[in-house]
Amino acid sequence: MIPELRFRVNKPTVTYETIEGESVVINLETGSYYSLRAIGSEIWESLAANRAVELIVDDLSALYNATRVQVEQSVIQLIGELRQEQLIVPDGAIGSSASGSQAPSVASTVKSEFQAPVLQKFTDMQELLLLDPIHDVDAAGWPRAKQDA
Amino acid sequence: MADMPLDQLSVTARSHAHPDPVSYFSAAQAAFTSATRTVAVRIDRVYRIAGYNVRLSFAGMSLMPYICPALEHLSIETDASPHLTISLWDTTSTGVEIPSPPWSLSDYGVRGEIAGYNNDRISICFKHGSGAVSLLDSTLNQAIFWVRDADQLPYWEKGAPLLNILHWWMSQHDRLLVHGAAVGNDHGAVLIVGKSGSGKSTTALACLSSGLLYLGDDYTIIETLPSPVVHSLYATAKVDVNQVNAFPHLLPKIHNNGTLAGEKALMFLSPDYNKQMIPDLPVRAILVPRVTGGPRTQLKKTSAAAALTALAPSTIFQLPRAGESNFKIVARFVSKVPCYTLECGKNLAQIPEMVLGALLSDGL
Repeated sequence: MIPELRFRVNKPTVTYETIEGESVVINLETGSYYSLRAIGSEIWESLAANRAVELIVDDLSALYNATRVQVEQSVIQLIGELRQEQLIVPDGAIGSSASGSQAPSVASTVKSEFQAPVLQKFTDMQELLLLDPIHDVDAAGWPRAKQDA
Repeated sequence: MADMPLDQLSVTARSHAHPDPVSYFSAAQAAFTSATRTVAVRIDRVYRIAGYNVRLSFAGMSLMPYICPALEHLSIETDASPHLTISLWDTTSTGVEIPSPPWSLSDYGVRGEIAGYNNDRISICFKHGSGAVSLLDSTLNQAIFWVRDADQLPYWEKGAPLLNILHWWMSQHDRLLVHGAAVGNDHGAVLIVGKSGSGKSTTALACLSSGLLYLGDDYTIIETLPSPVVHSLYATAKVDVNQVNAFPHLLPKIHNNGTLAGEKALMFLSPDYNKQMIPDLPVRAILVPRVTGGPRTQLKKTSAAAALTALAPSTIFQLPRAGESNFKIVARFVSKVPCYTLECGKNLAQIPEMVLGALLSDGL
């Protein structure tokens, strides 16, 4: 049994777009960006829509060919990674099951194969950012230029 | 040293009182006026950028060789009425400082934006790599670019001058400055996207060499509505030194021959290539280049999400204040045209053929 937690995207630090079943997520402060595909993107969209975690597990269990325990473990693991990367933050612990986004309307008679979600992380843009604090200033108070930036 | 304008003095004196962003901008504008008086000359140039007239007003000539060459292909008559005016000066040649920063060191953001000094009207950032300060008052359509010593500007600033100011202002006028190259023909253009070193410049220069039209190899401006368009911004090319020999006809154009160790080769393409430069073209496809070094160059369909991943982070992380709204524009843009991976092999002559293939593949 998982608590009826809800999350939200850590805005304005984090922004995202979902196209054709793939979510691209950017952390504007750290310079990291991320990709979530297929089920990972579905979970992300549900979290971003403030849907309770328990309901997300229900939704996926109805859609995919996996035990509820398998789905639950995958969802909780992904949420742990998303929180670790500060992409989502808790947004109210207890609430009505009816609130948040609506459940998918897809019929559950033919279930799709379940593939555990993967959070792909990219850090190759961090060099573009000034991630270290400034200490060195000139007489007028301006930071000294870093020629290698 | 010139007399310090009253506004500037008041801001400096109040530096601990944290003047508001508009007051800081006004003080900086007064400093520019003081700089023009000191050197007794103000030189104006006007450029037609993405459908708008942008006037550059220089206090003296010191900064002009660092700013103007990259924009030369967009130059128009100086009596054209400007939509945006950018005032530029440096301290070394004028003796006039920009008002000292009234903010604290902890206010500098990761992209140079100043916390507490950016709002709906005013944008301010400090570029850590060049020491340049950029400001925009979007209500007055006035901007300021200041640097302590023009001769200290790094080569990449010469290749892509005024990037932050143009990014801010264009964002407020239904355009988006992006980290992408663009080439094409009379039918339209391909936007070539990816991080530095992904093959954008090599692809763009291979196409320039084959006679295709050229809009830029690094930064361009896109417009999504009513249909995708790309605008030229800089008439430059910036290539890895180990790639530049592949374009022998461009070797005489290298601007920074003496400092190539640690720098890319920077070339100014105007006026020699003006016939191949075009201000804007409709976008027919997006290419994500990947250097394979294999025997063949190939074009493979890819997803809009792959194009988004290649374009959005490398754009947004470079530009102060870029965020969610810019991301949404990029997402809308990549969804409107077919997207391809361009697997670049050893034979660069095959690249233009693949680009032409992509140009003709949009359902015609």
